[in-house]
Amino acid sequence: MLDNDVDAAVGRMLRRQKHVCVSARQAGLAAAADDALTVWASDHHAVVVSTDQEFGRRRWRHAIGRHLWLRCHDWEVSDLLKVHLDEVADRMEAQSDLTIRLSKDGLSSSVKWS
Amino acid sequence: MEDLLAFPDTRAAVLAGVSLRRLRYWEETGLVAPSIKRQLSPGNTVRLYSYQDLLSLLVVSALRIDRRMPLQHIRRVVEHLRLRGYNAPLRELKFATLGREIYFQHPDGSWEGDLQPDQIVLEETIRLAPLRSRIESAAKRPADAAGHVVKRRGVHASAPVFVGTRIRVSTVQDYLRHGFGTEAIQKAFPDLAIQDIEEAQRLISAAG
Repeated sequence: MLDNDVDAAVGRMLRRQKHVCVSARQAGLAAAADDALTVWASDHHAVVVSTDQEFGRRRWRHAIGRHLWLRCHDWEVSDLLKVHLDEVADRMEAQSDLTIRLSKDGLSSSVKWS
Repeated sequence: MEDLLAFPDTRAAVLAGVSLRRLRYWEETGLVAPSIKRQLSPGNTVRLYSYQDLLSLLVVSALRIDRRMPLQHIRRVVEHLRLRGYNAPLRELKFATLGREIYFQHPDGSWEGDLQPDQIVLEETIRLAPLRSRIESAAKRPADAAGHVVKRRGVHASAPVFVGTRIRVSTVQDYLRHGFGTEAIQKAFPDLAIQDIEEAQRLISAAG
């Protein structure tokens, strides 16, 4: 589930890599609150892909469903994610409530909040 | 994409032309409830109405608001149909009203209520096609939103975003500052109109 604020190149790249990709617009959530995206994705066993720092921080502190927080220039996100995609997918599949932060320094994962 | 579509309760209420309070009442009384509901914290429950929920909602709205049918009467009809095995009667059946009575058509074409087909006129039936169109239109960004900026609670920490989107103004400004042109920005964010990008540029200039 691509946040409305993510460069469309990310969606194109993910689809080329055979991932199912839905934009917030397609889900009817283009103008919805952050939490609505989280709940929609959790209900659909999807991963929220977002570049927003505050959204990412909140999910980092309190992981609900799967959230991928991308930290770099928006136009570089697609290339960065492509490099780490397999690792991100593996980690996401292993846990149901998890936030992964991806930057040029690499991947880091949140601890499940309880 | 019908299966993927879901509106938050605030948007569903606007679509149905009812207050959030009334929407909540319809949920509490079991008339139309959101398919997706999750409490994230004691004061924060997210309710998402699926496409099918929205269709049911619009049928109730048509019966209650447009046809002025009493809510108790609608609920009795819905309960009756559920007992007869219809899981989602509001969107499975065709409804019509004559005077203060609600009639419904079964999948075999027969109308319940001893009405003959020629007694139902088109204006009295609630047609689903226009309701579907309303939902699909509501999922699109309104044309008059272009070029307007808003701050909304719960969206990107209340950062300014373009109306009808979750796209931060600062994101577009970053692209502009790094030399991306209008075409490249629209390719990155297809929801944006030229007026949005112009507004982002104007705000950069205004900030000095």
